[in-house]
Amino acid sequence: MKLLIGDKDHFDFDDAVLMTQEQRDKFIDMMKELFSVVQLEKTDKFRLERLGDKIFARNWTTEELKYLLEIKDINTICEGLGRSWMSVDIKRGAFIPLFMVWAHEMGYDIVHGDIKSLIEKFVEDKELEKRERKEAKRNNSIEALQLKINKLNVKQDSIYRRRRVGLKYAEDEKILSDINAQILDLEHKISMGSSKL
Amino acid sequence: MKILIYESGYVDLEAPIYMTQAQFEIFKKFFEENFHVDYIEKIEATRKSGTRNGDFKEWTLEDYLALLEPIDNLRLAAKMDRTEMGIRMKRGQFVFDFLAWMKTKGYSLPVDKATIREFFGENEAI
Repeated sequence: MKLLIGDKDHFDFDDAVLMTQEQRDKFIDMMKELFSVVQLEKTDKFRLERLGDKIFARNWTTEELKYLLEIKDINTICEGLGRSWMSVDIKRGAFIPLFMVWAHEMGYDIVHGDIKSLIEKFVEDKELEKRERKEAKRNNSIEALQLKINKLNVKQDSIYRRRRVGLKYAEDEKILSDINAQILDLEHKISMGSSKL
Repeated sequence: MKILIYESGYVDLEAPIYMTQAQFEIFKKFFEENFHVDYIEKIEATRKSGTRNGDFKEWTLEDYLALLEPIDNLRLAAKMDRTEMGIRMKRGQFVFDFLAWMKTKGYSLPVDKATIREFFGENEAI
């Protein structure tokens, strides 16, 4: 196997390494001893680019963010996370105002409050917001909107079919007008979404 | 950090990792005991340095006070006539250290310039 040694203290494998179960367990144990936040991910996607090929931007996990914000000493953070001081400074600097604004709005004392639990609360809040945004985005995707239109069309058709055989209800007109308004609204959203693409 | 595990028995890192020399010695020892290892030295990819217009701006006590305001980095950058990255990095270096120091001193927000001066007096560097 080949181990790549960078000029700025980063290390990488030249390629994925084939390990026996025992070697893999030992490797994971060692990494957990060396670093504070280690996550395992089962995958089938191989990484082609290696150290030196590009600038890597590793996503920050929730656990890493908690560690980043609650530990003061930058060397400890870099060592614990396996990230450079610049990466740590930049991430901390991006997070600090969000945290400060959040704490200010919620009325929390970031100096004398229990900073660890505040950070946990903050990260959970942000995770929730992220999930809600994702959900809203999913609900507003063009495919989702088209599906909603299809369902409304089916509902509309069934009312018309019923009325054609003489089954008319007093509220039909209102329901049909509501359905029409909803379809128009969804079509408008789709056209706005398409124009952005 | 993430360790990638493949069903085929391969193991990988999600991305290159930063290690101290002491960490690397342990890492190296593990691989030397378990595998035949070759070492390859590489130049890491780096961002091109930005074009700096104008002179380096010193950070004043007022600037440090502004970093403690609950304002986002972009607005603060505009207000202070600095780059967003400059604000981000300075906040990353300063704010948590300062808050931790305040706690030990029993101070509360908002603070004034004298408190910032006291902090740097004790920490010996701006």
